[in-house]
Amino acid sequence: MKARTVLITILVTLLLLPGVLFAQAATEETDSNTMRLAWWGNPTRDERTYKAVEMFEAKNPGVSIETETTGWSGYWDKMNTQAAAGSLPDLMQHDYAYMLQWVERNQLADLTPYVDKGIIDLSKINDSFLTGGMVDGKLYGISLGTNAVCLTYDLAVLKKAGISEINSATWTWADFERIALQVYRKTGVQTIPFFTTDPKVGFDNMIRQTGASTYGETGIGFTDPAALREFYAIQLRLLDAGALIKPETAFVTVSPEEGAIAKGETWVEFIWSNQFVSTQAAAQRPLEIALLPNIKNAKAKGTFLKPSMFFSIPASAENPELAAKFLNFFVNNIEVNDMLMGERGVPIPDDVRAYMSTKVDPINKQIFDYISLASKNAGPIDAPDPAGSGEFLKMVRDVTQEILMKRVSLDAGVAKIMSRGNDILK
Amino acid sequence: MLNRKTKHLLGQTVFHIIVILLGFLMLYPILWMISNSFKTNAEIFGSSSLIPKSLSLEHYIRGWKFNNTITFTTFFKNSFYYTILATFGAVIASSLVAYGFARVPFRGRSFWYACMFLTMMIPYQVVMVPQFIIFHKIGWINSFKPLIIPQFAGLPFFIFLMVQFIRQIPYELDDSAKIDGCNRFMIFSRILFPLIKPAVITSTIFSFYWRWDDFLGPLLFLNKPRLFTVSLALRMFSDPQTSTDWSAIFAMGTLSLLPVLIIFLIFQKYIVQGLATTGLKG
Amino acid sequence: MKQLTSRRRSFLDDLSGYAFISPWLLGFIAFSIIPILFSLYYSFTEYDILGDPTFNGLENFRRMLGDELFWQSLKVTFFYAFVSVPLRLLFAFFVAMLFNRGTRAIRMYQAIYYVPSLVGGSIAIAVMWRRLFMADGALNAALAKIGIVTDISWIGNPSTAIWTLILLAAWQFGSSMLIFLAGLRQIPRELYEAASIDGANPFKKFTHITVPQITPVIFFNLVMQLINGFTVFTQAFVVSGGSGDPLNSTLVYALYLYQRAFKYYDMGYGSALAWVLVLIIGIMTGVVFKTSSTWVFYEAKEGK
Repeated sequence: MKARTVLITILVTLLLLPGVLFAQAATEETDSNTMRLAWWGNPTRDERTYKAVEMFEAKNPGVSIETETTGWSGYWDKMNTQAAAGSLPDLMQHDYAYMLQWVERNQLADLTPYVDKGIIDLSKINDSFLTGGMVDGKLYGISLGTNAVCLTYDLAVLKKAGISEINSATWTWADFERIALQVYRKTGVQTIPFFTTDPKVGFDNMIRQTGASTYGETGIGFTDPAALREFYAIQLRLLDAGALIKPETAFVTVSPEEGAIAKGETWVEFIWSNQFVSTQAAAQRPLEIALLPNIKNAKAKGTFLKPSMFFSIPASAENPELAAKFLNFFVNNIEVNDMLMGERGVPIPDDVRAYMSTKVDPINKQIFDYISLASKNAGPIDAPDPAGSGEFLKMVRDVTQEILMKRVSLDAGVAKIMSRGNDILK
Repeated sequence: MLNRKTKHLLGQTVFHIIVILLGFLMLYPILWMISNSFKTNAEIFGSSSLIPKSLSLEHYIRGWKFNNTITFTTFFKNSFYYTILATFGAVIASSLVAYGFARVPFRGRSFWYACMFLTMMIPYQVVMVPQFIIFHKIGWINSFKPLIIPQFAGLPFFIFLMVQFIRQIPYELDDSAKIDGCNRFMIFSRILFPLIKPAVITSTIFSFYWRWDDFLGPLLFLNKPRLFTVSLALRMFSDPQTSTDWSAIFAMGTLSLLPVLIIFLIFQKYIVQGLATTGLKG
Repeated sequence: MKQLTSRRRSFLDDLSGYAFISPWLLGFIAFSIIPILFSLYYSFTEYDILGDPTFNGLENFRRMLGDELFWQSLKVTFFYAFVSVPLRLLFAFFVAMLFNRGTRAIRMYQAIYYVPSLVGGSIAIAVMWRRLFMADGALNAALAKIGIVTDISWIGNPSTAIWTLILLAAWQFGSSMLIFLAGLRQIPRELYEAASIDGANPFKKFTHITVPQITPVIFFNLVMQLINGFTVFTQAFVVSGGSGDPLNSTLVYALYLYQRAFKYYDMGYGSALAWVLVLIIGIMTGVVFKTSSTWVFYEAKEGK
């Protein structure tokens, strides 16, 4: 009896002891020298952002920044949960598509007071770069760079297949298809399905070329499914010829290092221009950038310049002043941008951009050249995404896989996107 | 013809070979993970080998540092904090409640006992949404309160287990203690509690496992990385879009299994016993 | 409970009884009853957590009828539960039969076979599982070694992805195995001895003694595990990357509910989904109980 009691006592104490010891472990710190920073990223971006944080901390002794990073697909789930829980970070990466929705839900703080106080310096930034982050005359986000959709390709593979160059400004989807088939026949290298993370980005470009847009006032913004149909028809033809990477593999989310272009399984990958930095880093061989091909009888420009990688201060931020200070450092500081190397896009302050263009880093030069090419071939940007776009994008990605895995016919799939899209976005 | 003895020996050998082969297959995924924690990415991809080229701990060190601002020290601390406090609450409260149900003939006992049984059948998903909303309104989100405090109400499963145990203990013990002048609480704490030790230990172990592995709770209620438990941190670490550092992920994954395995090694006997009693009859 | 109620009740007993169960009672009201009532209410409303819930009658339930993903998640969940649970119990029973003999090494074997159940619920295992079944994972590498070269991505193919989850569940048969083993050991030796005297062969002993004696245990575990199978979340969440990918083939019910409630902030619809889950589990349990008398053997000395 006694031995048992002793044993129980020991057990309970053993259980309790660490509990007491760790009791202080989970307390929160909210002093003016701590802030939280969140972004979606990739390994390259994460590494550089950590470095930027370190540089800021070194310049501001006593300040500590806690970082949160996930991939694009998990990021918005997480931020939505944090918004509902009232626990958003002090500074968060934001996207043009979602900013309006967030402003309407009163989740973001106006940055104008921090500009007036001189914490954020906009003197070197042309107003045209700021309008993307403005709603009703208030500034809700500052973009870290300009982007455009592009495709990146492996010129060495093309040369092996007997193709010497791509005339990016004038080529058509018919050219693309011909090249893809020729590359496959001559080298065995396949083509990856278009925009596996977010197929909407891909057909959006084609729909814009018809003069319409993906989103309308209510429902989807186009009535003629021809462009959408063509988007899938090309891929299906390539698939039937054996030239397309199997959708079963292509749609599994992986990091750039494990991606098909890094492993040399595809000659082409569809990305945003800033992602070229991480794609290039993962591929470890020279790649080129090109505009997306044109459709037949294009009525308008598909490409547009997107103010990208906004940073916003949530309305619930605990330490907005520090966040504003970091944001200013992040946008304007030449040293930090020298290290970031345009990973989030071409910088917007004039002096930073001028400095960066003198840098001989070949990857950056490629991106700069591409952005200037794109700006000559770009139309105006569409309105931000309507509410319900998150669900729409998931549906599009699902149906895309259904079409490419031949679970539905091309026509039925396209019809499904049209009708379901109208339901979701109504 | 084989004689009986060799036949028996042959049967035994075949049995052991089959069991060992099957056992290896069972353990293979875990062994693969552990060996991956010593391999480089290039060694991991497209390989089923269990033998790493080198045995350095560099992946563990790199993984532990996580993103340099928050390390796995924080996550392990949080996990231990949550697990231990919740387990302590669940076990103590459950034993108190079990005593009440098993030994005190109060009015409405059968009714409440039936209610408790019903809650065992209701999936957590039902209360998940309103709990989130309520905890949100009273400001408990981003603290360990929504995870730990409900545990101090006791767990139906543990209460049931302990009630079964207490019922096997003869009443004479209670009665003689009563004659000695013990009140109910004294009877419970001095006489019955030590006697239901196996049930208490079983509950403690199960609670430890469940809290340690708990994912949905922390996912709902803990949104700041500083508060993350090991489970959440591992999930964030292994985000398919951003992670390339599989070696470090597997290293931290291996570490996350250690507490569970250590407890198993120490309390093996109780676990087998506990499972047998909990799973045999309803 | 009969023997207990015969004892005399007094006011003091009431007082101390409620004192002892008060932690549970308070918790029951605060963390079960109140949320359940709220949940019931929300299931008839539209609620996005930022605004106020607005009553919309049966709209949520009507919406389910036309919700493709709802039906898909039901399909996935039923398939998952009805394949993985029997598979796991079958394995468990088979191995328990194998171990039901007196070899000294059995204890060690038991421990080894139990380890997957021990760690199977953890995130580390789910993360590893995903890696194991990728196109360049260990499975394909192992297959290649025995001459089967394939580049199939088991987690990327809609027809195979759910099987990786089923395998993960079946792999954790250890705890059921231990339970069955304890059950087998409780079968009175005399039964077998008597049968031997009557000249029964091992197969007959198995079908006439072992199976009937162990069915209550199997039955109890079947019910409990089916319920757990319907609410599976973590593994599907991690292996599919939180999305139910590929093509919603791993979109189990609890994952869909989570997405609705905490991704799209459709709290009303999410609550309605939860109640449908209660209904399903209730019906399933009822059916299993109703039919149990036809195949579950209970000992004659009933009424414990």
